[in-house]
Amino acid sequence: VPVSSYESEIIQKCYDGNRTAYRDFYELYANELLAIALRYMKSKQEAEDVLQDAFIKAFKNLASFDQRASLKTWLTRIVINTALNMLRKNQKGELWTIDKFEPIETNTLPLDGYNYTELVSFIQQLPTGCRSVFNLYAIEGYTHKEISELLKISSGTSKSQYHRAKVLLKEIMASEETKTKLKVI
Amino acid sequence: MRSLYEQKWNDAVKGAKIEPSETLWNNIASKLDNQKGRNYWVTLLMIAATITIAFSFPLTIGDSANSSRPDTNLHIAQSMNVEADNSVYDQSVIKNTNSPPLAINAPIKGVTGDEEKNTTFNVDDKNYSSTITNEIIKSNSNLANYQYLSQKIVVPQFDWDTHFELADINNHYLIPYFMPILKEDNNNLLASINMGTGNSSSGNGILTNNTAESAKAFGFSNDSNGFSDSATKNESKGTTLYLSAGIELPVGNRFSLLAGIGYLAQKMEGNNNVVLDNGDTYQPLGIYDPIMYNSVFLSSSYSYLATNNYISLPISIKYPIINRKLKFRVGAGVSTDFMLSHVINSDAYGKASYKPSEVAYEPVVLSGLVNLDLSYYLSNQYSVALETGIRKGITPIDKNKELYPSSFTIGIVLFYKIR
Repeated sequence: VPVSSYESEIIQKCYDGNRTAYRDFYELYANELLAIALRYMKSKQEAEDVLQDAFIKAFKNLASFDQRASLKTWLTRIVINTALNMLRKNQKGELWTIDKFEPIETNTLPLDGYNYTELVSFIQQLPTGCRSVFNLYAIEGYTHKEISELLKISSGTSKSQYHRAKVLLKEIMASEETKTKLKVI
Repeated sequence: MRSLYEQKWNDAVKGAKIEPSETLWNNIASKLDNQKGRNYWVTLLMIAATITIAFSFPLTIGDSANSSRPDTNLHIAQSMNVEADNSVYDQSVIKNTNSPPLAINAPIKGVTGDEEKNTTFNVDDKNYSSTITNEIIKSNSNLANYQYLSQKIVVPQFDWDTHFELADINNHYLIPYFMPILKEDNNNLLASINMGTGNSSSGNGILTNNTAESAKAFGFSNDSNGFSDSATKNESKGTTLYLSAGIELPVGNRFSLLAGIGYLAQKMEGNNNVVLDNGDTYQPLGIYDPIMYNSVFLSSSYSYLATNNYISLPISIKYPIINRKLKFRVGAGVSTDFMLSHVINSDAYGKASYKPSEVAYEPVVLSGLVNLDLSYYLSNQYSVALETGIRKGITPIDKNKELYPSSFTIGIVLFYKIR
């Protein structure tokens, strides 16, 4: 989706150094981008750090943005890349652990009973590596090949991480369910 | 293929919105100010103080390597009243005491026949009188630009005991005139020197040697008198010093325009055997300088350092290839240089400074500039750059349109952000 005339106008004003236009640009996408960043990071503070760096990158490289493309897609990619870079930088020790998991049945997983905040909190409990792969594959729609290029891992690692994420999510959600039941009792 | 599982997650979380804290925009705005400052090293007003030490290629392309003045510099003018000066006898020099020639670049005219003139001269504190008979033959060739003057000096009161060799001297002079400072103006001073090929009819006099050396130095060969060109007359590469201050303005989103004012000193090392006689002292001349009235040919060369001083007004466009904390830019532009002075400095004859109007250099010169700079941000206000570049003459620096200076420069640039 190419940029709208409104977006185009804001971008032009940003080129001209208009400070108000920068703010308008930020307000246009900040909420949505923060929600994306939050899925990759463990806290809102970390997600805001990602968003801060992402917006600065975006403003700095606005000239390189092709207005025939979607501004939202472009910004989302910047946010994801910034988040992954930050995770990589902050990660101590092994990021990718290869585990063998038994196949699980996940298609019947009920998500309807959870609100957005709860679902995101489940994702945030995942280890960094499989959290990244889960977000990229299940939510952003990347293929394992694309993920392997993006994260510089093998396609097999991406698959195993994704599988691990699903298993862990199931465990986390089951655990949360138990906690809720205990609270009710 | 995406399964139902992925689709459920996608539907559940995609498109969600979370409001950031109030401080987030303030942090971004604050970072942007700093970042903007960095970007605006290119796009905002800046002041640049540049100190460049340049290592030059040979100062000129082409004719610079010539060790003598090109023949095309020779211009024939009119000669009158050529006479031998007593310094010819007393010193190891030949001195030109001619009046400035009457015409500039004019063909030889109005000099016909013989003329006779009485003169006195001094040898070893003894005064002699002589009668000089001049016979002037002019050249009709465009290539052989000279006048031939046969001069017979008769010394009636001669001391045979001590000055045997000076008796009955026949001097033969070839008189080329060349290198007008300015053309088409009768008030101009035209370079002139008499170049002797004198010989003595009786013995090997001092005169013979001196004139021969001068002829050699002038690059003239006359087989009949046994001359060959062996004197050193050359000019070679030196260094260039450049100091400037400038202002940089944004042009569009990426480009910037740098305009400045600077001092440019182009230095060349050379050897010459021509000086100017100021009465008490000799004043050094470069080989590309006009040989003026009162020029003196020395029998041996002296070394000198010539410096052309300019006020330089460069203007150039810069474009960043890499635009991060470490910035890499390419630039191209033009420098208009206004000559301040032409200075010749020699150990043997001291220092002489000539105004642009006194020498055969153009008062205004255009040069092309191409450069690369690698800069690094030291702080929010300052950055430092290593700049390399090539400066190449677009217009010649001399009036004979032969010299196009070219230099390679490497220097340090200090940037200070105004706002």
